Amino acid sequence: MRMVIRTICMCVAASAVLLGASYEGYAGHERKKVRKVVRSSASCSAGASASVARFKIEKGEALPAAIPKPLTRKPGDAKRGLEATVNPGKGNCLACHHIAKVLAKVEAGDKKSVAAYGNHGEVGPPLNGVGGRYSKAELRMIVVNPQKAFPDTNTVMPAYHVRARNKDVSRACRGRVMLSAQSIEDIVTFLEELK
Amino acid sequence: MRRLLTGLLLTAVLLPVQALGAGNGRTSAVNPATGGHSLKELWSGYHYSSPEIRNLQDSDSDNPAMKLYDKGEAAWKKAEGRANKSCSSCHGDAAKSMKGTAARFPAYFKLSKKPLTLESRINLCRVKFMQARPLPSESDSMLALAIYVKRQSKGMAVSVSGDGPLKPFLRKGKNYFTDRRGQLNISCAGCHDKYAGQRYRAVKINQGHANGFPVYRQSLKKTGSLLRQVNQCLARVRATPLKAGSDQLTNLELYLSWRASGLEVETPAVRE
Repeated sequence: MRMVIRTICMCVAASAVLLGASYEGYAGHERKKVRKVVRSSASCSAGASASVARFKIEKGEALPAAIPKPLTRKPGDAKRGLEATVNPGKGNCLACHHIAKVLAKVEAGDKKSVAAYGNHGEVGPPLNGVGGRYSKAELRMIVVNPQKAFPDTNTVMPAYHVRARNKDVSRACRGRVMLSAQSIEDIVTFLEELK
Repeated sequence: MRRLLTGLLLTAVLLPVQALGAGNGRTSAVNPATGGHSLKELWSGYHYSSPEIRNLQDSDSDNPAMKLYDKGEAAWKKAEGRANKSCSSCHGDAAKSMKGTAARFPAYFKLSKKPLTLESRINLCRVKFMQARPLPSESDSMLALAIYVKRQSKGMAVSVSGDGPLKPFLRKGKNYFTDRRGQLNISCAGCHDKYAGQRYRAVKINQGHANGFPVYRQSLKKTGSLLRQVNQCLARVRATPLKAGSDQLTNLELYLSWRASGLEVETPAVRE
């Protein structure tokens, strides 16, 4: 009995994680379908990574903390950054932030493009012009660990490149960071271009 | 004279607040009935729903969860178990005996030395007095009976004081609600206390009240309990799910019911 309940819970957990935050994605699930999803996903989420880059935190200009040096040797790619920003299993930045540049990608009447680029959250500040407000080193700090970048705000934004030592982390995500070092660089490059 | 004027002014200011307190949480705000509340005014999830969803909940014939109500009514009268008893053998007419029950649950039980949710209480009855098998969580039979019993309190204000022996359990439930958890390191309060009314991607965040469960979810096309909802939230922050009948879930439900005190019981509610 306990096993059955555990399996169902894990199914729900895995499907929601896999399909990200969109209710549409989670909608209309059938138990059979969900089981299939679980079998094909041993991982935490599309963006999660087991390896963590080393980085040095220094003082920023506008913020008390910044990471001046890139986390990877390979430079970030803005196009991949946009995709990671949008992907519910990766950055899912859209869940909380409005980004006009992403909204511009919506093709009217096309349901798929609306689902991917159309629904912007209101929990965090809009990211339009964020590349002008912060340096690249500060943007990197914000995405890696916003609580270090904004120490007094008790922000709800997750830390994307800190190995989770939080309470009750799901089994699949234990010891993993939300985004790989490369995805961080991609997103930071995308954000830097929002001027 | 000045004192009189101040008094009059105070009454003028306080009157609308009192009027707010008489609200139902769906079309008008409710003042928290309990002290030390994290919310200034209470709004049911109904308030944050689209007109179509509201219409579904408002009409008994359209509300998909009402099918389970009929099933629950039949189950209430059906004798089961080795004792060959039904709920009605002891409790009689649910419209009388169960009126107000949902509004005061989870309640403390001396025998269990802890609070029980209504679902756990139903299973206690089944095992102890009917000598029947407990109903599994999320099964249609449990949802049906829970809906039937809770529905008898529809429109009554949730009233869970959390005093006396409930106090330590309430505190645990509150801690569960306010502690950050999961890979995303976000607490329940982080969204539902702070950002109700704002969008999270396509979804409007609500205050996270427990006054309408079991709830029919339009996006899932299925009725489910509070556990299903909590575990969906936990999956979003990538945290370990709660187990059915666990103390953690009961304490959380206790805190949520304390927090929702003043809102009307809406079972079975319909949500996005």
